[in-house]
Amino acid sequence: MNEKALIAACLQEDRKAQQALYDHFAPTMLGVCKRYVKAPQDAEDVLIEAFFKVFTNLHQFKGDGSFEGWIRRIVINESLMFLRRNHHLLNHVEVETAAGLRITPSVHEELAAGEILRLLDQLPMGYRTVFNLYVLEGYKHREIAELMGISINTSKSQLILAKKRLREMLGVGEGERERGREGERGRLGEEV
Amino acid sequence: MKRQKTLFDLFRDNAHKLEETPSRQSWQRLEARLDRHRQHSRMLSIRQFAVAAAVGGIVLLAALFSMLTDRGHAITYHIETLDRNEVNEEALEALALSKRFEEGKPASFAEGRVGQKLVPR
Repeated sequence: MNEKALIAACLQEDRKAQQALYDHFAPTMLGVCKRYVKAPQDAEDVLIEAFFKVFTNLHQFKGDGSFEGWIRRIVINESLMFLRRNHHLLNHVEVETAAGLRITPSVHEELAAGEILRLLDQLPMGYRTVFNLYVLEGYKHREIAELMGISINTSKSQLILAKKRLREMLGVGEGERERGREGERGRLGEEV
Repeated sequence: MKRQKTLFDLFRDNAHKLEETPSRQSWQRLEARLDRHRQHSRMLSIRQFAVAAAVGGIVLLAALFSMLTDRGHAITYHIETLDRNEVNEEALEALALSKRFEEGKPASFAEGRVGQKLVPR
């Protein structure tokens, strides 16, 4: 069954089609949830809530853009709502010192899933959320500011601090940092 | 020349590794939630239909009552001419007399003679 047929069947509340759609997208979307929400059980709760909204609001999907992108937006919004409900986003201006943990990527320029999560877990929630939204979802600072209810400058500073913290945890030295900057300058100079 | 990988690239390129199949119970929990939602929606539809029917019934009853009341008023204001044979003459005269008293226009009566007394008719 192709995507359009699957969506049409889901609109008719066909349980088998709904399960097929869930089985197809849930692993990717659980990965998204895990980047925002620390506890695995909470991440799964957010996933279920997000898919409940996907199925009950499916009539709103007009088919203009990517269906996966539409689901991903719902999952991200649900994750942010979870963080807001649990007051995690209130601590977005955090001035903690760098954590002692250091991670060396297992293979050069490779990070294992566990390492990614451990690194993200070490970030204060505000840094982590801005980092996720900016780096991995591709949102602009203006959009992040609207989503999180913060100023554009706060979003920018959170990203800079997140990057700094991650560099420290990855044990990137001054020399490497400079080389990294060279590589990033073209793109990040304007972005951040 | 190969571009130096940035910190951002490191995360972007490896983020897919976080993909994970949810637990078996997750679909069952979602399905149960969807079932409850479906039941709730149906109940809501039935309730909405019942409320609409009740409102319709009340409007119908009110209209019917209004029609009957209007007809009652017509009876109230309808004046029938009484058949004089069926009416007690004395009662009619007493009624006419009391009406005249109420209007402040006492009936004129003839002066009596000695040995007579005034008796209201």
